Amino acid sequence: MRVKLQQKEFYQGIQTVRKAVSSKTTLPILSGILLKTEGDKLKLVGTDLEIGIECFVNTQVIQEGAIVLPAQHFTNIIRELPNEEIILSAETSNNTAQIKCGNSQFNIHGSPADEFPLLPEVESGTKLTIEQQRLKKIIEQIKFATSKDENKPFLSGGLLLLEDETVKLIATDTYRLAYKENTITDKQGELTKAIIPNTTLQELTKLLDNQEEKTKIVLTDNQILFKFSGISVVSRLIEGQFPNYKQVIPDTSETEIVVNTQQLLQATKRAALLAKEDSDIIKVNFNEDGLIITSNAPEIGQAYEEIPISLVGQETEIAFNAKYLLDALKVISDEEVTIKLSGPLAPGVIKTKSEQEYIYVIMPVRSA
Amino acid sequence: MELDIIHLDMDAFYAAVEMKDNPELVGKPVIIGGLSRRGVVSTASYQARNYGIHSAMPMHQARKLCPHGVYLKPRHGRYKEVSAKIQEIFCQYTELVEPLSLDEAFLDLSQNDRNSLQLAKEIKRRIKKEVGLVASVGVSYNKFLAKLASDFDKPDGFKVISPFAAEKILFPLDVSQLWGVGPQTEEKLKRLGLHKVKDIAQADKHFLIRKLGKKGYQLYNLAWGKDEREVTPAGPPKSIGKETTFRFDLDDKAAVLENLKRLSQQVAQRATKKGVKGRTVTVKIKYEDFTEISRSKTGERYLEAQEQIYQVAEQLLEDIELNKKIRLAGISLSTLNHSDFKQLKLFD
Repeated sequence: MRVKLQQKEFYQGIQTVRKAVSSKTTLPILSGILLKTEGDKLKLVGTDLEIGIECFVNTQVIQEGAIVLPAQHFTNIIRELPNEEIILSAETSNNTAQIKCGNSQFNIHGSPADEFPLLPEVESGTKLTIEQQRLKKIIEQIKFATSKDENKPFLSGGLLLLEDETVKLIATDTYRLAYKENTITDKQGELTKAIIPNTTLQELTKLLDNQEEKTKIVLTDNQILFKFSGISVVSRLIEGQFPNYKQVIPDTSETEIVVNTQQLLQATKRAALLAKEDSDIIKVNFNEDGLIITSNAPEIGQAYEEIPISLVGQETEIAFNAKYLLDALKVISDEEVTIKLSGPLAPGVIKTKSEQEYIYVIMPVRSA
Repeated sequence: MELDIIHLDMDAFYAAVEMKDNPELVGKPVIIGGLSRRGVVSTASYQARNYGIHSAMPMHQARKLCPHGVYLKPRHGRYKEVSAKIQEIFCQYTELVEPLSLDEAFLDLSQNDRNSLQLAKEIKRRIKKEVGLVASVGVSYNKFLAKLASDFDKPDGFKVISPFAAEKILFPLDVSQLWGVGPQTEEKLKRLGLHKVKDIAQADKHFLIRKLGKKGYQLYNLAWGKDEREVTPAGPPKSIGKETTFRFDLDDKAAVLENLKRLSQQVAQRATKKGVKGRTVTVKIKYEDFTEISRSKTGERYLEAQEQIYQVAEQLLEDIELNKKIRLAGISLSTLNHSDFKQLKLFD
């Protein structure tokens, strides 16, 4: 193999696939990146068998071929090279590669390309498209609520539900639940359900761009493929039964308020400063004449925040883990949010008005 | 100095419970422990001990010594149940009960008007009658001596150490019998020419403090039968820890870190479940040759999240030599603060 390519573009491609490169050493070849000429492009692939990322870099192909190079060293080398033309050549007979750029030259040992596992073919399945920026937003609004409890793998991802004209993404760690729905127009196929691993959601939000260009999604029984901007992300799905989320979204409430999102976010952030030493607990009073947030770190002091609101129904008081409240407020771009409560021990619900339906359910903290 | 402190130690507890539940096992060498390739013996019945089997011995070695033994996996739930019954008996005599494990506890009977020796005998009898198990009992005027006493004529022991007898009993003992003397301290003491408890008792107190710090002072007191520790009833946990023995010894730092990550996850989960946070993180490493090392760090902030605990653990591992293969790793969280709040759940 022998190719010519630009350092900047090459490094960008490497960084894209690097996210999928295995950090564990189960299968040594997985700590490498596959480089393979395809037409007039160089294909880069990284995978840890759970997630696989593939992307293409523009090149001038002088001689076709393929090799696997150790991700860490290879990435470091390309990163430090000047933004000039790189000549990459690989010798299949002894699996070594030579990187030349300006006056620099590196020889590194690699592995044979045919030992690198192929990414699963995800072609026939349920298909749909969605704009990159919309998908990014959907994922960002729920991914933080996925569970880190390894005893409950089915909660460690987001539940994707595909209906004829709606896509829903839901995540919960049992303390809170985030629900987002959005419209789709071109769904084809029968599959309706999948749990996408948290790590895949994380990588997607990093890779997706804030642009109108569409992402193609293909869902099969155990894999999901996202294709956008010359990048393909294939991910294994999580098996298991996601809990019945409908059951935990309350449909009635005793108290309903409307509040400015930014004001609530800022006030919560500040109050949380003095809740830190304890357990991030803040108390929120919902009164006719305003919303009052207080926190208390006995050794340090107390915080008091007041925000104007409009309240319908009963006045009430509730305690939350500030972090759970902040997680949601940070990803809401609406100017105002509606909060619904039913007393100090029942779940609180945050909803937005204009964004297509976003619901966040948060369980309170009870003082013993 | 009243003889108010008693130490009760159930004889071969796990094995005894198994025999009680399954009388066919009575009189047979019963060994309880991890049955996997790398499991260790947690309890051996007295019959099994005759073959040289003892707790903490690797299972494969036990099987070699006693191939026809009855090997059972521990049933912790059941042992807990039986232990709770025994605790119930204790609590009828005093509130000052300090359980050390499922099969061992200190009792302070000073609040009880009746004679402590009689009470100790009665408790032993009742455990036999009501639970069907045998306890070895030690009675003395402090925790150290009570525990030493219960160990004296096990099994089915009943031993009293009075202030007058303490010196005679203590002085000829090896220093390793003193509370707080592990293999490292033992070696140190012997290098200093201190082999018997008597040597420590007769050594210069300031010399001991100079050589061993606070521990030197402690050992000096113990050698004279002095122990001021009180029997403290079980309160909320003092630390939350988790450790794991690897399927095979590791010599790869990345793999150890991977395990620490998983352990910190488990510790974080238990902390959240119990509603506590901690400021101290301790990492423990056991090498292939069974030597141990631990490093801890106490920060300003209370931690509970997996990422926070792991971050400290990762730093701590930097201070630990990885020049030998590693058999076990553990993480614990201590200096806990117990929150008065409980995070409610949407569902279980």
